[in-house]
Amino acid sequence: MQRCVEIFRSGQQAVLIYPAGSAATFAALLVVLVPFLTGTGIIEGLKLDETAALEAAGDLHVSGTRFGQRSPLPAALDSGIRNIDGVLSVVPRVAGSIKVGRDQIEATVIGLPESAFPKSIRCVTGRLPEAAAPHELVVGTSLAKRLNLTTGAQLPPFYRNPEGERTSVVVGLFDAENPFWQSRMILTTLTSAQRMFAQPDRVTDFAVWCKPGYSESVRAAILRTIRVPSEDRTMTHLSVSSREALVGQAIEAEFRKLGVFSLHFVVEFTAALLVLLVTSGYGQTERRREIGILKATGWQTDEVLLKAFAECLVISVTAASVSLVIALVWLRCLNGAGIAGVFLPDLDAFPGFAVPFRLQTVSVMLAFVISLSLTLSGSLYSSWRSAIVPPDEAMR
Amino acid sequence: MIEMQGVTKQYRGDGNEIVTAVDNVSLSISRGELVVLTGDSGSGKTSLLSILGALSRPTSGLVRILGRELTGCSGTELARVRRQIGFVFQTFSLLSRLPAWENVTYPLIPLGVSRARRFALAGQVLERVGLQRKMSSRPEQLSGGELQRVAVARALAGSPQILLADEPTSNLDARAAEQLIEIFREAHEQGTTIVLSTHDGRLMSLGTRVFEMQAGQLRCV
Repeated sequence: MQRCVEIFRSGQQAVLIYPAGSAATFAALLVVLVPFLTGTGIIEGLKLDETAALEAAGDLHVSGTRFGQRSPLPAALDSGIRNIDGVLSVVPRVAGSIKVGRDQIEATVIGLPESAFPKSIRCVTGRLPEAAAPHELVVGTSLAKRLNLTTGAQLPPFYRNPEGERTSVVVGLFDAENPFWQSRMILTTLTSAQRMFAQPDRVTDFAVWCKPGYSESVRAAILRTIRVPSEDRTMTHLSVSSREALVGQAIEAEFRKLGVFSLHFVVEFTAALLVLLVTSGYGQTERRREIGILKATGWQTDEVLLKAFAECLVISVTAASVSLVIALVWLRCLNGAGIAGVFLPDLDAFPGFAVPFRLQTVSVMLAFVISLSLTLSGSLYSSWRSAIVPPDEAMR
Repeated sequence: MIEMQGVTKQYRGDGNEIVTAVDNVSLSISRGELVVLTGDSGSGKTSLLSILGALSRPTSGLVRILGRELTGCSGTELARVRRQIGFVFQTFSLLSRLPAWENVTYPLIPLGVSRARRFALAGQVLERVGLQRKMSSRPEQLSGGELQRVAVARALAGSPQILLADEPTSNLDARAAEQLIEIFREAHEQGTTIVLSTHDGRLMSLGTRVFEMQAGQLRCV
């Protein structure tokens, strides 16, 4: 045991004996680990936020499909759904995508009945739109910042319907509990949203709240009894999703993002591995000679490898710990500047809202494993190669 | 203690030709002997010492050291044999980034000797070779003679049963060489078996037997 402790100590000491090599390895590890921790942190944060947002949504989500694509529904279906046994309330909703501003920033317009505006939304300036006054809207603070909008600002004609070109007035700026959600959202009344998209009496979906234990029966009843009236013999199918299913879809979407990120990461990992293999070659002659001397003076191959392992362990643990600190600073203090845009499209380098993040234990553990495996692959093999040749050859 | 029978060592030269460094050497050395090898450069002295130090395997022949037949030994067993041998290399072969005291006691690390104990031991051995004041000096800060003495101190630190030295006085001035010869004399008197190669007449005079190597072959002088 004492033998292992002393060999291990000599490995730790070797980190300082070869400062240039250790620093190069350390830097290569940071380049891999910091984006990894930051990226997975943001993905987990987004997943958590979306799940939380959906938890606050209705028990059921009713939408229409045509050709397998989302299709609007008549707002009049509202009353039919409301009459089903077990339904507590029904909120019709318009959710559509528009592009605003000179930079054509993509924003999501949400139209809701005035009474159904989310309680989590609070105006930091101005007020919420009123049903009696069409073309009023409120904008999330970060979107307002990007579009340089203030309360009272007129949005230039940004939509056209059969009644002509329309301008809208920003009557307030809001903040929401979900910062990502509010970073791209325009909230208005249901009627204004319908006009904006020239879809009078149409909605994109209904959120349905049910009595406890009634969700499944209400879902079945909607599918069985509600028919979408058609004026032209075409048919719109109804799709009813439970909250759990929507959460599942959101998580799946985040996993897709994670998949894309992982692909980037694999490329980066491979590049770092190559860098480490190359940098481990620097001073290799000296290392080989040193191992030859160790072998000549009685060190065994496994002892040489234990020493190399200790060296790798110290570098990798230090690099992973420092990466963790940098990732935390990057996320907490720098708000994921530069990297958040990888996961959140149309985002400035410096996001105008608090980027959600959560560093999970699994990600942190994985960072340590990646760090160790990278250093070991860069060092252990070359050490072993040097250790198995006769000492007099290695010392040459 | 050391026995060689028909030992031959061949290398591939730069032009891929076969070079015979040690040619059918047979030799038996008893405990406590001081054997001197002499001969021209390239005559095979270093190759023979490498085989005796278990640093390389012979191409053919049998080598028995401390009762262990080396030909069929595994790498681990060879390493164990090396622990009982102190080797003073012609080129010092010190670890360039470590201070003298660490160089002297680095071979003791796998034996589980603590850092504090190694430091104390290094002090004693370096004092024996007159370098106690240079304990913290790195090899680049030492002269050729001092490097050689550190190398000797390393070879002695593990109290080896066999001490091998390849031209130990070749880089030393007269005074340092005298000091070193005295160290070898002391070690010999304490019962250590010593095999060294040298051209130094003073060292040769210590030898219980002197051999001359010529073109890889050994001849008793």
